[in-house]
Amino acid sequence: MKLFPVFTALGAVGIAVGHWLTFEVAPMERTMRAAQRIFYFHVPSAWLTYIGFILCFGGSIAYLYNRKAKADAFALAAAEVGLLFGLIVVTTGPLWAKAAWGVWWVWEPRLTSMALLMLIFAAYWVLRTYGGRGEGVRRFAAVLAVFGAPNILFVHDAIRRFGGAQHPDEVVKSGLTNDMRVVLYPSLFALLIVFGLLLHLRYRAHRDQLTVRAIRRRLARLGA
Amino acid sequence: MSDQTSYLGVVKAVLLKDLRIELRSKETLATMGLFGLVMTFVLAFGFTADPATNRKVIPGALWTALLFAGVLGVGRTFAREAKDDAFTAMILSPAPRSAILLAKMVVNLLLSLSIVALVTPLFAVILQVDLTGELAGILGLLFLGATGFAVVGTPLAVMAVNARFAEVLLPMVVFPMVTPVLIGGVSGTAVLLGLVFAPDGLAPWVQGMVAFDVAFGVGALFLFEKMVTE
Amino acid sequence: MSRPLFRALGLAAACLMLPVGASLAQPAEAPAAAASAASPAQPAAATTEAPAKAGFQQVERAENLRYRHLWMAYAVIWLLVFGFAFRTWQRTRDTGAELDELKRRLAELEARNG
Repeated sequence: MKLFPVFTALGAVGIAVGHWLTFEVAPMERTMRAAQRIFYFHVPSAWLTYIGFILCFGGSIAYLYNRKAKADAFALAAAEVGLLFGLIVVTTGPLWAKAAWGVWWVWEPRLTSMALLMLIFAAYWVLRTYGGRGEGVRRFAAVLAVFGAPNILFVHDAIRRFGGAQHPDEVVKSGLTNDMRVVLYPSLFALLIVFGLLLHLRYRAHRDQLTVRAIRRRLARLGA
Repeated sequence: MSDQTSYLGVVKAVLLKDLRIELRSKETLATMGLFGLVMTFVLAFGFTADPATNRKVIPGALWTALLFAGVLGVGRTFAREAKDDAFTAMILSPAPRSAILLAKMVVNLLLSLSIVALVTPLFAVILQVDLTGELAGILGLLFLGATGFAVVGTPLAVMAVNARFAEVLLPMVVFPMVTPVLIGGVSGTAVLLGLVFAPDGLAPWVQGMVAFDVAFGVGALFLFEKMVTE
Repeated sequence: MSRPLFRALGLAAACLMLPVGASLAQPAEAPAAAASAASPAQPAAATTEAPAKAGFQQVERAENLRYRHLWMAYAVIWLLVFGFAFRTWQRTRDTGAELDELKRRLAELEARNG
Protein backbone atom coordinates (compact mmCIF):
# COMPACT_ATOMS: atom_id res chain seq x y z
CA MET A 1 0.00 0.00 0.00
CA LYS A 2 2.93 2.28 0.75
CA LEU A 3 4.24 1.59 -2.71
CA PHE A 4 1.20 3.07 -4.42
CA PRO A 5 2.03 6.78 -3.91
CA VAL A 6 5.63 6.10 -4.89
CA PHE A 7 4.60 4.51 -8.15
CA THR A 8 2.01 7.22 -8.74
CA ALA A 9 4.67 9.89 -8.41
CA LEU A 10 7.04 7.89 -10.57
CA GLY A 11 4.34 7.45 -13.20
CA ALA A 12 3.44 11.14 -13.19
CA VAL A 13 7.06 12.19 -13.53
CA GLY A 14 7.57 9.55 -16.20
CA ILE A 15 4.58 10.77 -18.20
CA ALA A 16 5.76 14.37 -17.89
CA VAL A 17 9.24 13.42 -19.09
CA GLY A 18 7.69 11.29 -21.82
CA HIS A 19 5.67 14.23 -23.09
CA TRP A 20 8.64 16.56 -22.95
CA LEU A 21 10.73 14.07 -24.91
CA THR A 22 7.96 13.47 -27.42
CA PHE A 23 7.21 17.09 -28.13
CA GLU A 24 10.57 18.75 -27.62
CA VAL A 25 13.41 16.30 -27.97
CA ALA A 26 12.19 13.84 -30.61
CA PRO A 27 13.46 14.66 -34.10
CA MET A 28 10.99 15.79 -36.76
CA GLU A 29 10.49 12.78 -38.99
CA ARG A 30 11.16 13.56 -42.65
CA THR A 31 8.03 12.38 -44.45
CA MET A 32 5.34 12.00 -41.79
CA ARG A 33 6.41 15.16 -39.95
CA ALA A 34 4.54 16.01 -36.74
CA ALA A 35 2.05 13.14 -37.04
CA GLN A 36 4.89 10.71 -36.47
CA ARG A 37 5.04 11.88 -32.85
CA ILE A 38 1.88 9.86 -32.23
CA PHE A 39 4.21 6.87 -32.56
CA TYR A 40 5.80 7.40 -29.13
CA PHE A 41 2.59 6.65 -27.26
CA HIS A 42 0.76 4.64 -29.90
CA VAL A 43 3.33 1.84 -30.12
CA PRO A 44 3.84 1.35 -26.35
CA SER A 45 0.04 1.31 -25.99
CA ALA A 46 -0.14 -1.51 -28.51
CA TRP A 47 2.44 -3.49 -26.55
CA LEU A 48 0.54 -2.87 -23.33
CA THR A 49 -2.67 -4.05 -24.97
CA TYR A 50 -1.00 -7.34 -25.75
CA ILE A 51 0.41 -7.52 -22.23
CA GLY A 52 -3.05 -6.89 -20.77
CA PHE A 53 -4.62 -9.66 -22.82
CA ILE A 54 -1.76 -12.04 -22.07
CA LEU A 55 -2.26 -11.38 -18.35
CA CYS A 56 -5.99 -11.99 -18.82
CA PHE A 57 -5.13 -15.27 -20.53
CA GLY A 58 -2.86 -16.22 -17.61
CA GLY A 59 -5.47 -15.30 -15.01
CA SER A 60 -8.12 -17.26 -16.88
CA ILE A 61 -5.95 -20.39 -17.11
CA ALA A 62 -5.25 -20.07 -13.39
CA TYR A 63 -8.97 -19.69 -12.71
CA LEU A 64 -9.87 -22.78 -14.72
CA TYR A 65 -7.34 -24.80 -12.72
CA ASN A 66 -7.75 -23.46 -9.19
CA ARG A 67 -11.21 -21.80 -9.28
CA LYS A 68 -10.02 -18.97 -7.05
CA ALA A 69 -12.27 -15.94 -7.47
CA LYS A 70 -9.20 -13.72 -7.16
CA ALA A 71 -7.63 -15.20 -10.28
CA ASP A 72 -10.83 -14.37 -12.12
CA ALA A 73 -10.88 -10.83 -10.72
CA PHE A 74 -7.32 -10.38 -11.92
CA ALA A 75 -8.19 -11.68 -15.39
CA LEU A 76 -11.11 -9.27 -15.60
CA ALA A 77 -8.99 -6.32 -14.46
CA ALA A 78 -6.26 -7.18 -16.98
CA ALA A 79 -8.81 -7.46 -19.79
CA GLU A 80 -10.29 -4.08 -18.90
CA VAL A 81 -6.95 -2.30 -18.79
CA GLY A 82 -5.95 -4.09 -21.99
CA LEU A 83 -9.14 -2.87 -23.63
CA LEU A 84 -8.41 0.69 -22.48
CA PHE A 85 -4.99 0.66 -24.11
CA GLY A 86 -6.43 -1.09 -27.15
CA LEU A 87 -8.94 1.73 -27.44
CA ILE A 88 -6.04 4.18 -27.38
CA VAL A 89 -4.34 2.22 -30.14
CA VAL A 90 -7.36 2.04 -32.42
CA THR A 91 -8.20 5.72 -32.00
CA THR A 92 -4.69 7.16 -32.34
CA GLY A 93 -3.91 4.73 -35.17
CA PRO A 94 -6.42 6.10 -37.68
CA LEU A 95 -5.48 9.68 -36.68
CA TRP A 96 -1.89 8.89 -37.55
CA ALA A 97 -2.87 7.03 -40.72
CA LYS A 98 -5.02 9.92 -41.94
CA ALA A 99 -2.25 12.43 -41.43
CA ALA A 100 0.48 10.18 -42.83
CA TRP A 101 -1.25 8.52 -45.80
CA GLY A 102 -4.52 10.41 -46.20
CA VAL A 103 -6.74 7.43 -45.31
CA TRP A 104 -8.22 6.39 -42.00
CA TRP A 105 -7.92 2.67 -42.37
CA VAL A 106 -5.82 0.27 -44.37
CA TRP A 107 -6.39 -3.45 -44.70
CA GLU A 108 -3.18 -4.37 -43.01
CA PRO A 109 -2.27 -7.32 -40.73
CA ARG A 110 -1.46 -5.46 -37.55
CA LEU A 111 -4.38 -3.07 -37.75
CA THR A 112 -6.88 -5.76 -38.55
CA SER A 113 -5.66 -8.27 -36.01
CA MET A 114 -5.73 -5.58 -33.34
CA ALA A 115 -9.32 -4.79 -34.33
CA LEU A 116 -10.30 -8.46 -34.07
CA LEU A 117 -8.52 -8.85 -30.76
CA MET A 118 -10.52 -5.89 -29.53
CA LEU A 119 -13.73 -7.52 -30.81
CA ILE A 120 -12.98 -10.74 -28.92
CA PHE A 121 -12.21 -8.94 -25.68
CA ALA A 122 -15.12 -6.56 -26.16
CA ALA A 123 -17.30 -9.68 -26.23
CA TYR A 124 -15.52 -10.76 -23.04
CA TRP A 125 -16.31 -7.41 -21.45
CA VAL A 126 -19.95 -7.47 -22.56
CA LEU A 127 -20.27 -10.97 -21.15
CA ARG A 128 -18.79 -9.89 -17.83
CA THR A 129 -20.91 -6.76 -17.64
CA TYR A 130 -24.30 -8.00 -18.82
CA GLY A 131 -24.07 -11.79 -18.77
CA GLY A 132 -24.58 -12.20 -15.02
CA ARG A 133 -22.22 -12.79 -12.13
CA GLY A 134 -22.50 -16.50 -11.57
CA GLU A 135 -19.71 -19.00 -11.41
CA GLY A 136 -20.75 -20.35 -14.81
CA VAL A 137 -20.31 -16.96 -16.43
CA ARG A 138 -16.81 -16.69 -14.98
CA ARG A 139 -15.96 -20.06 -16.43
CA PHE A 140 -17.40 -19.05 -19.81
CA ALA A 141 -15.36 -15.85 -19.74
CA ALA A 142 -12.22 -17.76 -18.81
CA VAL A 143 -12.71 -20.15 -21.72
CA LEU A 144 -13.30 -17.17 -23.99
CA ALA A 145 -10.03 -15.55 -22.94
CA VAL A 146 -8.11 -18.81 -23.18
CA PHE A 147 -9.39 -19.38 -26.72
CA GLY A 148 -9.32 -15.75 -27.77
CA ALA A 149 -5.79 -14.69 -26.86
CA PRO A 150 -3.89 -17.34 -28.86
CA ASN A 151 -6.41 -16.96 -31.66
CA ILE A 152 -4.73 -13.73 -32.57
CA LEU A 153 -1.66 -15.59 -33.83
CA PHE A 154 -3.86 -17.31 -36.40
CA VAL A 155 -5.69 -14.12 -37.29
CA HIS A 156 -2.44 -12.27 -37.81
CA ASP A 157 -1.02 -15.07 -39.91
CA ALA A 158 -4.16 -15.28 -42.05
CA ILE A 159 -4.35 -11.55 -42.68
CA ARG A 160 -0.66 -11.35 -43.45
CA ARG A 161 -1.23 -13.81 -46.28
CA PHE A 162 -4.35 -11.90 -47.26
CA GLY A 163 -1.95 -9.17 -48.30
CA GLY A 164 -2.12 -5.44 -47.80
CA ALA A 165 -0.20 -2.27 -47.30
CA GLN A 166 2.79 -1.69 -45.09
CA HIS A 167 2.22 -0.47 -41.57
CA PRO A 168 3.77 2.97 -41.05
CA ASP A 169 5.35 1.51 -37.97
CA GLU A 170 7.50 -0.74 -40.18
CA VAL A 171 8.74 2.32 -41.99
CA VAL A 172 9.57 4.03 -38.74
CA LYS A 173 11.20 0.98 -37.21
CA SER A 174 13.43 0.41 -40.20
CA GLY A 175 14.68 3.96 -39.76
CA LEU A 176 14.44 4.05 -35.98
CA THR A 177 17.33 6.24 -35.04
CA ASN A 178 18.93 6.49 -31.64
CA ASP A 179 17.34 9.86 -30.92
CA MET A 180 13.95 8.23 -31.52
CA ARG A 181 14.79 5.32 -29.22
CA VAL A 182 15.70 7.79 -26.50
CA VAL A 183 12.08 8.99 -26.64
CA LEU A 184 10.33 5.67 -27.23
CA TYR A 185 11.69 3.70 -24.29
CA PRO A 186 11.03 6.28 -21.54
CA SER A 187 7.50 6.64 -22.93
CA LEU A 188 7.07 2.89 -22.78
CA PHE A 189 8.37 2.83 -19.23
CA ALA A 190 6.04 5.63 -18.12
CA LEU A 191 3.01 4.03 -19.72
CA LEU A 192 3.98 0.70 -18.16
CA ILE A 193 3.74 2.33 -14.73
CA VAL A 194 0.36 3.85 -15.62
CA PHE A 195 -0.72 0.41 -16.81
CA GLY A 196 0.39 -1.18 -13.54
CA LEU A 197 -1.37 1.45 -11.43
CA LEU A 198 -4.64 1.11 -13.32
CA LEU A 199 -4.43 -2.68 -13.16
CA HIS A 200 -3.86 -2.50 -9.42
CA LEU A 201 -6.80 -0.15 -8.85
CA ARG A 202 -9.10 -2.16 -11.06
CA TYR A 203 -8.12 -5.44 -9.44
CA ARG A 204 -8.70 -3.99 -6.00
CA ALA A 205 -12.14 -2.73 -7.04
CA HIS A 206 -13.11 -6.21 -8.21
CA ARG A 207 -11.65 -7.82 -5.10
CA ASP A 208 -13.63 -5.45 -2.87
CA GLN A 209 -16.72 -6.42 -4.80
CA LEU A 210 -15.98 -10.05 -3.96
CA THR A 211 -15.73 -9.17 -0.27
CA VAL A 212 -19.04 -7.31 -0.46
CA ARG A 213 -20.71 -10.34 -1.94
CA ALA A 214 -19.14 -12.64 0.65
CA ILE A 215 -20.40 -10.46 3.51
CA ARG A 216 -23.85 -10.28 1.94
CA ARG A 217 -23.99 -14.06 1.84
CA ARG A 218 -22.94 -14.23 5.47
CA LEU A 219 -25.57 -11.70 6.46
CA ALA A 220 -28.17 -13.68 4.59
CA ARG A 221 -27.11 -16.80 6.49
CA LEU A 222 -27.37 -14.96 9.78
CA GLY A 223 -30.88 -13.98 8.78
CA ALA A 224 -30.57 -10.22 8.53
CA MET B 1 -22.38 -49.94 -28.38
CA SER B 2 -20.82 -52.90 -26.64
CA ASP B 3 -17.94 -51.10 -25.01
CA GLN B 4 -19.35 -47.90 -23.58
CA THR B 5 -16.60 -47.25 -21.09
CA SER B 6 -13.75 -46.89 -23.57
CA TYR B 7 -13.07 -43.44 -24.99
CA LEU B 8 -14.20 -44.22 -28.50
CA GLY B 9 -17.11 -46.16 -27.11
CA VAL B 10 -18.38 -43.05 -25.34
CA VAL B 11 -17.89 -40.92 -28.47
CA LYS B 12 -19.80 -43.45 -30.51
CA ALA B 13 -22.62 -43.78 -27.98
CA VAL B 14 -23.23 -40.04 -27.64
CA LEU B 15 -22.86 -39.48 -31.37
CA LEU B 16 -25.31 -42.23 -32.30
CA LYS B 17 -27.79 -41.09 -29.67
CA ASP B 18 -27.77 -37.54 -30.99
CA LEU B 19 -27.94 -38.56 -34.61
CA ARG B 20 -30.80 -40.95 -33.96
CA ILE B 21 -32.82 -38.28 -32.13
CA GLU B 22 -32.02 -35.72 -34.80
CA LEU B 23 -33.00 -38.03 -37.65
CA ARG B 24 -36.24 -38.80 -35.87
CA SER B 25 -37.27 -35.24 -35.07
CA LYS B 26 -35.18 -33.33 -37.65
CA GLU B 27 -35.82 -30.13 -35.70
CA THR B 28 -32.29 -28.68 -35.75
CA LEU B 29 -31.74 -29.80 -39.32
CA ALA B 30 -35.03 -28.24 -40.41
CA THR B 31 -34.36 -24.88 -38.72
CA MET B 32 -30.78 -24.73 -39.98
CA GLY B 33 -31.82 -25.76 -43.46
CA LEU B 34 -34.56 -23.19 -43.65
CA PHE B 35 -32.25 -20.53 -42.29
CA GLY B 36 -29.65 -21.52 -44.90
CA LEU B 37 -32.27 -21.12 -47.63
CA VAL B 38 -33.33 -17.72 -46.32
CA MET B 39 -29.71 -16.61 -46.10
CA THR B 40 -29.14 -17.76 -49.66
CA PHE B 41 -31.97 -15.63 -50.95
CA VAL B 42 -31.11 -12.62 -48.83
CA LEU B 43 -27.53 -12.69 -50.08
CA ALA B 44 -28.69 -13.32 -53.64
CA PHE B 45 -31.00 -10.29 -53.49
CA GLY B 46 -28.21 -8.28 -51.98
CA PHE B 47 -25.53 -9.08 -54.51
CA THR B 48 -26.95 -10.53 -57.69
CA ALA B 49 -25.67 -8.84 -60.82
CA ASP B 50 -24.25 -10.28 -64.03
CA PRO B 51 -22.74 -13.81 -63.81
CA ALA B 52 -19.17 -12.43 -63.93
CA THR B 53 -19.75 -10.33 -60.80
CA ASN B 54 -21.62 -13.18 -59.16
CA ARG B 55 -18.53 -15.32 -59.53
CA LYS B 56 -16.62 -12.78 -57.46
CA VAL B 57 -19.35 -12.62 -54.85
CA ILE B 58 -19.97 -16.32 -54.39
CA PRO B 59 -17.03 -17.12 -52.03
CA GLY B 60 -18.15 -14.51 -49.53
CA ALA B 61 -21.82 -15.40 -49.85
CA LEU B 62 -21.18 -19.11 -49.41
CA TRP B 63 -19.06 -18.67 -46.30
CA THR B 64 -21.37 -16.12 -44.71
CA ALA B 65 -24.31 -18.46 -45.15
CA LEU B 66 -22.35 -21.33 -43.62
CA LEU B 67 -21.28 -19.21 -40.65
CA PHE B 68 -24.75 -17.89 -39.87
CA ALA B 69 -26.48 -21.23 -40.30
CA GLY B 70 -23.69 -22.92 -38.35
CA VAL B 71 -24.13 -20.74 -35.30
CA LEU B 72 -27.78 -21.78 -35.13
CA GLY B 73 -26.79 -25.43 -34.95
CA VAL B 74 -23.97 -24.84 -32.48
CA GLY B 75 -26.30 -22.89 -30.21
CA ARG B 76 -28.51 -25.95 -29.91
CA THR B 77 -25.68 -28.34 -29.07
CA PHE B 78 -26.87 -29.17 -25.60
CA ALA B 79 -30.47 -28.05 -26.04
CA ARG B 80 -31.77 -31.55 -25.44
CA GLU B 81 -29.56 -32.16 -22.43
CA ALA B 82 -30.64 -28.84 -20.89
CA LYS B 83 -34.00 -30.38 -20.04
CA ASP B 84 -34.25 -32.53 -16.90
CA ASP B 85 -30.66 -31.64 -15.98
CA ALA B 86 -29.45 -34.41 -18.28
CA PHE B 87 -26.29 -32.41 -18.93
CA THR B 88 -25.21 -32.62 -15.31
CA ALA B 89 -25.91 -36.33 -15.31
CA MET B 90 -23.82 -36.71 -18.45
CA ILE B 91 -20.95 -34.73 -16.96
CA LEU B 92 -21.06 -36.58 -13.65
CA SER B 93 -21.02 -39.97 -15.33
CA PRO B 94 -17.65 -41.75 -15.28
CA ALA B 95 -17.37 -41.29 -19.05
CA PRO B 96 -14.40 -39.13 -20.08
CA ARG B 97 -15.79 -35.64 -20.57
CA SER B 98 -13.70 -34.81 -23.59
CA ALA B 99 -15.26 -37.80 -25.33
CA ILE B 100 -18.67 -36.20 -24.87
CA LEU B 101 -17.32 -32.95 -26.31
CA LEU B 102 -15.75 -34.76 -29.25
CA ALA B 103 -19.05 -36.46 -30.03
CA LYS B 104 -20.86 -33.12 -29.90
CA MET B 105 -18.25 -31.56 -32.18
CA VAL B 106 -18.83 -34.30 -34.73
CA VAL B 107 -22.60 -33.80 -34.49
CA ASN B 108 -22.18 -30.09 -35.19
CA LEU B 109 -19.78 -30.81 -38.03
CA LEU B 110 -22.28 -33.18 -39.64
CA LEU B 111 -25.09 -30.64 -39.27
CA SER B 112 -22.98 -27.90 -40.86
CA LEU B 113 -21.98 -30.21 -43.68
CA SER B 114 -25.58 -31.03 -44.47
CA ILE B 115 -26.27 -27.30 -44.71
CA VAL B 116 -23.25 -26.96 -47.01
CA ALA B 117 -24.64 -29.73 -49.20
CA LEU B 118 -27.92 -27.85 -49.45
CA VAL B 119 -26.67 -24.29 -49.85
CA THR B 120 -23.71 -24.71 -52.21
CA PRO B 121 -25.65 -26.03 -55.23
CA LEU B 122 -28.42 -23.57 -54.51
CA PHE B 123 -26.01 -20.64 -54.69
CA ALA B 124 -24.52 -21.97 -57.90
CA VAL B 125 -27.97 -22.18 -59.48
CA ILE B 126 -29.39 -18.90 -58.22
CA LEU B 127 -26.28 -16.85 -58.91
CA GLN B 128 -25.75 -18.63 -62.25
CA VAL B 129 -22.18 -19.56 -61.48
CA ASP B 130 -20.80 -22.81 -62.85
CA LEU B 131 -18.93 -24.47 -59.99
CA THR B 132 -18.69 -28.01 -61.38
CA GLY B 133 -14.96 -27.81 -62.07
CA GLU B 134 -14.06 -26.53 -58.61
CA LEU B 135 -16.76 -28.28 -56.60
CA ALA B 136 -14.52 -30.88 -54.99
CA GLY B 137 -12.01 -28.26 -53.87
CA ILE B 138 -14.67 -25.92 -52.54
CA LEU B 139 -16.33 -28.73 -50.60
CA GLY B 140 -12.94 -29.66 -49.14
CA LEU B 141 -12.41 -26.10 -47.96
CA LEU B 142 -15.93 -25.96 -46.55
CA PHE B 143 -15.21 -29.19 -44.69
CA LEU B 144 -12.10 -27.65 -43.11
CA GLY B 145 -14.06 -24.50 -42.30
CA ALA B 146 -16.98 -26.38 -40.78
CA THR B 147 -14.52 -28.37 -38.69
CA GLY B 148 -12.92 -25.18 -37.37
CA PHE B 149 -16.35 -23.78 -36.63
CA ALA B 150 -17.47 -26.91 -34.77
CA VAL B 151 -14.21 -27.17 -32.86
CA VAL B 152 -14.39 -23.60 -31.52
CA GLY B 153 -18.16 -23.17 -31.43
CA THR B 154 -19.09 -26.34 -29.54
CA PRO B 155 -17.15 -25.73 -26.30
CA LEU B 156 -18.18 -22.06 -26.30
CA ALA B 157 -21.82 -23.08 -26.78
CA VAL B 158 -21.52 -25.43 -23.82
CA MET B 159 -20.22 -22.60 -21.66
CA ALA B 160 -22.70 -20.06 -22.99
CA VAL B 161 -25.71 -21.77 -21.39
CA ASN B 162 -24.56 -20.29 -18.07
CA ALA B 163 -24.89 -16.68 -19.24
CA ARG B 164 -27.84 -14.38 -19.67
CA PHE B 165 -28.47 -13.39 -23.29
CA ALA B 166 -26.64 -16.59 -24.27
CA GLU B 167 -28.26 -16.79 -27.69
CA VAL B 168 -27.20 -13.19 -28.48
CA LEU B 169 -23.75 -13.53 -26.96
CA LEU B 170 -22.81 -16.72 -28.75
CA PRO B 171 -22.59 -15.33 -32.32
CA MET B 172 -20.79 -12.25 -30.97
CA VAL B 173 -18.23 -14.51 -29.37
CA VAL B 174 -17.92 -17.17 -32.05
CA PHE B 175 -17.66 -15.01 -35.17
CA PRO B 176 -14.47 -13.12 -34.26
CA MET B 177 -12.99 -16.41 -33.04
CA VAL B 178 -13.42 -18.17 -36.37
CA THR B 179 -12.07 -15.28 -38.44
CA PRO B 180 -8.87 -17.16 -39.38
CA VAL B 181 -10.98 -19.95 -40.84
CA LEU B 182 -13.25 -17.48 -42.59
CA ILE B 183 -10.34 -15.63 -44.17
CA GLY B 184 -8.74 -18.91 -45.18
CA GLY B 185 -11.97 -20.28 -46.60
CA VAL B 186 -12.99 -17.21 -48.56
CA SER B 187 -9.48 -16.66 -49.91
CA GLY B 188 -9.06 -20.34 -50.74
CA THR B 189 -12.36 -20.36 -52.59
CA ALA B 190 -11.34 -17.23 -54.47
CA VAL B 191 -8.07 -18.91 -55.45
CA LEU B 192 -9.97 -21.97 -56.72
CA LEU B 193 -12.26 -19.79 -58.79
CA GLY B 194 -9.26 -17.97 -60.22
CA LEU B 195 -10.39 -14.62 -58.82
CA VAL B 196 -7.08 -13.63 -57.25
CA PHE B 197 -3.46 -13.87 -58.22
CA ALA B 198 -1.97 -16.62 -56.07
CA PRO B 199 1.55 -17.75 -56.88
CA ASP B 200 1.51 -20.27 -54.01
CA GLY B 201 -1.88 -21.65 -54.96
CA LEU B 202 -4.17 -23.14 -52.35
CA ALA B 203 -1.53 -24.64 -50.06
CA PRO B 204 -0.98 -21.78 -47.55
CA TRP B 205 -4.72 -21.38 -46.94
CA VAL B 206 -5.24 -25.10 -46.45
CA GLN B 207 -2.25 -25.25 -44.12
CA GLY B 208 -3.56 -22.36 -42.07
CA MET B 209 -7.02 -23.90 -41.72
CA VAL B 210 -5.67 -27.34 -40.82
CA ALA B 211 -3.38 -25.77 -38.21
CA PHE B 212 -6.34 -23.88 -36.74
CA ASP B 213 -8.56 -26.97 -36.65
CA VAL B 214 -5.89 -29.12 -35.01
CA ALA B 215 -4.72 -26.51 -32.49
CA PHE B 216 -8.16 -25.53 -31.26
CA GLY B 217 -9.52 -29.07 -31.46
CA VAL B 218 -6.75 -30.48 -29.31
CA GLY B 219 -6.82 -27.46 -26.99
CA ALA B 220 -10.58 -27.68 -26.45
CA LEU B 221 -10.53 -31.43 -25.78
CA PHE B 222 -7.61 -31.01 -23.41
CA LEU B 223 -9.20 -28.16 -21.46
CA PHE B 224 -12.78 -29.43 -21.44
CA GLU B 225 -12.18 -31.39 -18.25
CA LYS B 226 -11.36 -28.09 -16.51
CA MET B 227 -14.19 -26.18 -18.16
CA VAL B 228 -17.08 -28.21 -16.82
CA THR B 229 -15.86 -29.59 -13.49
CA GLU B 230 -18.47 -29.26 -10.73
CA MET C 1 -7.47 5.32 0.12
CA SER C 2 -8.90 7.98 -2.12
CA ARG C 3 -6.22 10.48 -1.11
CA PRO C 4 -3.39 8.93 -3.11
CA LEU C 5 -5.84 8.63 -5.98
CA PHE C 6 -6.67 12.32 -5.81
CA ARG C 7 -2.98 13.07 -5.68
CA ALA C 8 -2.44 10.87 -8.71
CA LEU C 9 -5.17 12.64 -10.63
CA GLY C 10 -3.79 16.05 -9.71
CA LEU C 11 -0.27 15.15 -10.71
CA ALA C 12 -1.38 13.61 -13.95
CA ALA C 13 -3.51 16.65 -14.75
CA ALA C 14 -0.44 18.78 -14.19
CA CYS C 15 1.40 16.59 -16.68
CA LEU C 16 -1.40 17.11 -19.16
CA MET C 17 -0.60 20.83 -19.14
CA LEU C 18 2.86 20.07 -20.41
CA PRO C 19 2.08 19.16 -24.03
CA VAL C 20 -0.26 22.14 -24.22
CA GLY C 21 2.52 24.39 -22.97
CA ALA C 22 4.93 22.78 -25.37
CA SER C 23 2.58 23.46 -28.24
CA LEU C 24 2.39 27.12 -27.29
CA ALA C 25 6.14 27.28 -26.93
CA GLN C 26 6.74 25.77 -30.38
CA PRO C 27 7.51 28.91 -32.35
CA ALA C 28 8.71 27.84 -35.76
CA GLU C 29 6.00 25.69 -37.29
CA ALA C 30 2.83 25.78 -35.23
CA PRO C 31 1.83 29.47 -35.55
CA ALA C 32 2.20 29.43 -39.32
CA ALA C 33 -0.04 26.41 -39.51
CA ALA C 34 -2.55 27.99 -37.15
CA ALA C 35 -2.59 31.17 -39.21
CA SER C 36 -3.46 29.31 -42.38
CA ALA C 37 -6.26 27.57 -40.54
CA ALA C 38 -7.64 30.82 -39.16
CA SER C 39 -8.17 32.40 -42.57
CA PRO C 40 -9.85 29.87 -44.81
CA ALA C 41 -11.42 32.56 -47.02
CA GLN C 42 -8.18 34.04 -48.26
CA PRO C 43 -6.82 31.10 -50.27
CA ALA C 44 -9.76 31.42 -52.71
CA ALA C 45 -8.57 34.85 -53.70
CA ALA C 46 -4.97 33.73 -53.72
CA THR C 47 -5.49 30.96 -56.30
CA THR C 48 -5.25 33.46 -59.14
CA GLU C 49 -1.67 34.16 -58.17
CA ALA C 50 1.34 32.02 -58.94
CA PRO C 51 0.69 28.23 -58.81
CA ALA C 52 3.78 27.90 -56.67
CA LYS C 53 1.95 29.65 -53.88
CA ALA C 54 -1.02 27.31 -54.18
CA GLY C 55 1.34 24.37 -53.94
CA PHE C 56 2.93 25.88 -50.88
CA GLN C 57 -0.47 26.35 -49.28
CA GLN C 58 -1.32 22.76 -49.97
CA VAL C 59 1.83 21.64 -48.20
CA GLU C 60 1.00 23.98 -45.37
CA ARG C 61 -2.50 22.58 -45.07
CA ALA C 62 -1.12 19.04 -44.89
CA GLU C 63 1.31 20.17 -42.20
CA ASN C 64 -1.54 21.77 -40.31
CA LEU C 65 -3.53 18.54 -40.48
CA ARG C 66 -0.60 16.62 -39.06
CA TYR C 67 -0.39 18.91 -36.06
CA ARG C 68 -4.12 18.82 -35.51
CA HIS C 69 -4.14 15.05 -35.56
CA LEU C 70 -1.21 14.93 -33.19
CA TRP C 71 -3.06 17.01 -30.61
CA MET C 72 -6.25 15.09 -31.16
CA ALA C 73 -4.43 11.80 -30.58
CA TYR C 74 -2.93 13.00 -27.29
CA ALA C 75 -6.25 14.43 -26.16
CA VAL C 76 -7.95 11.10 -26.86
CA ILE C 77 -5.27 9.20 -24.94
CA TRP C 78 -5.64 11.27 -21.80
CA LEU C 79 -9.41 11.50 -21.95
CA LEU C 80 -9.57 7.72 -22.10
CA VAL C 81 -7.03 7.17 -19.33
CA PHE C 82 -8.60 9.71 -16.99
CA GLY C 83 -12.10 8.57 -17.79
CA PHE C 84 -11.08 5.04 -16.92
CA ALA C 85 -9.28 6.09 -13.75
CA PHE C 86 -12.27 8.19 -12.70
CA ARG C 87 -14.75 5.38 -13.27
CA THR C 88 -12.53 3.01 -11.30
CA TRP C 89 -12.25 5.51 -8.49
CA GLN C 90 -16.04 6.00 -8.40
CA ARG C 91 -16.50 2.28 -8.27
CA THR C 92 -13.96 1.77 -5.51
CA ARG C 93 -15.57 4.58 -3.50
CA ASP C 94 -19.07 3.10 -3.85
CA THR C 95 -17.86 -0.40 -3.04
CA GLY C 96 -15.92 0.93 -0.07
CA ALA C 97 -18.99 2.69 1.32
CA GLU C 98 -21.07 -0.43 0.81
CA LEU C 99 -18.39 -2.52 2.49
CA ASP C 100 -18.31 -0.26 5.56
CA GLU C 101 -22.08 -0.40 5.87
CA LEU C 102 -22.15 -4.17 5.56
CA LYS C 103 -19.35 -4.59 8.09
CA ARG C 104 -21.21 -2.40 10.53
CA ARG C 105 -24.37 -4.45 10.12
CA LEU C 106 -22.44 -7.67 10.50
CA ALA C 107 -20.77 -6.48 13.71
CA GLU C 108 -24.13 -5.33 15.06
CA LEU C 109 -25.71 -8.64 14.29
CA GLU C 110 -22.88 -10.66 15.78
CA ALA C 111 -22.94 -8.55 18.94
CA ARG C 112 -26.67 -9.14 19.29
CA ASN C 113 -26.36 -12.88 18.70
CA GLY C 114 -23.68 -13.05 21.36
